[in-house]
Amino acid sequence: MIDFTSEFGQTVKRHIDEEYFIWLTTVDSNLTPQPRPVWFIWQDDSFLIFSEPKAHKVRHIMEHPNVALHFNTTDKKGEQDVVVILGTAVIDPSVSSVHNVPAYVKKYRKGLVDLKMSPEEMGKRYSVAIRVSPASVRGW
Amino acid sequence: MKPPKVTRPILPKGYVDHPISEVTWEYVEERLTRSVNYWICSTRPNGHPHVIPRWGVVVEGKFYYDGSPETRHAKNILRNPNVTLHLESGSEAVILDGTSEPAGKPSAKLAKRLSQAYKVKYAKEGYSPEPDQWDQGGLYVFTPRQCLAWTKFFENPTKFVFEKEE
Repeated sequence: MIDFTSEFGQTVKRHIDEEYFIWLTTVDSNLTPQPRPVWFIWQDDSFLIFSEPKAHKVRHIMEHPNVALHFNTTDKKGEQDVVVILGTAVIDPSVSSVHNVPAYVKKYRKGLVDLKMSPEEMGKRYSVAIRVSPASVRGW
Repeated sequence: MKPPKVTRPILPKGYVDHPISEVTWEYVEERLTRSVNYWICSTRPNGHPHVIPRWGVVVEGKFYYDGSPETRHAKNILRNPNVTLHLESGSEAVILDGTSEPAGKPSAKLAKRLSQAYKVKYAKEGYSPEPDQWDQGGLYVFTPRQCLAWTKFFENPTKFVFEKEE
């Protein structure tokens, strides 16, 4: 659980509400960290991310469920607005498809148009739901 | 950095089946040199990822960054030198993976160049290390194996592969 009531918690909430991408860092079989920018929404006290089934990150998560999430700093010096979340990722079979998640479709409606993809098409292609539950948050 | 071999990343079918262009290494090198914040991703001894933004400079074709040997990222690379570094944009991404290691005490010439490079970029932010800053350690050098970059993911994802240094 993230405490959104503190000053830093409000910074985290602002990033969650406003950021288009989040960096998901998984660890591969060689224990090399693999950061990738991904689309996300905050839902049920966790980050919901969709992926193609054969994406490397899905395989990494099956082997090493501990992941990190971070946002780009909005401060050009990198001295403010650093938000890093550590958590556990699971493949969530309860999420049927992207197009059944209205908040996700709403957030990425333009992105989907840019990709020339309908929510239904994205749901077929990005059929794996990754859910990251935060264990800790650090930053400044 | 030596110009690397240019290729395409191996992506799952359906990701980018018909790329139409490539990012140039000159573009990537320019961004690497000019960027202010660099995210250093390393792995903790327990296998969990660790990410932290650092300042850094490209000098003599290599990327250097610094920090106390007591910091988590510095301890991590002693156990596992595999590090991934990325710049701050998800839509125009530059992601390099390679290895980081303590650089040791730099030569007088390198120390001077590092000091100058840091001052050019970070003096206005309040960081102006002198050439003897790293005499006792705390300087790290990142050697890339490969780099993934794009300015439009569905058009030009590009992979750069670096030759191993002898």
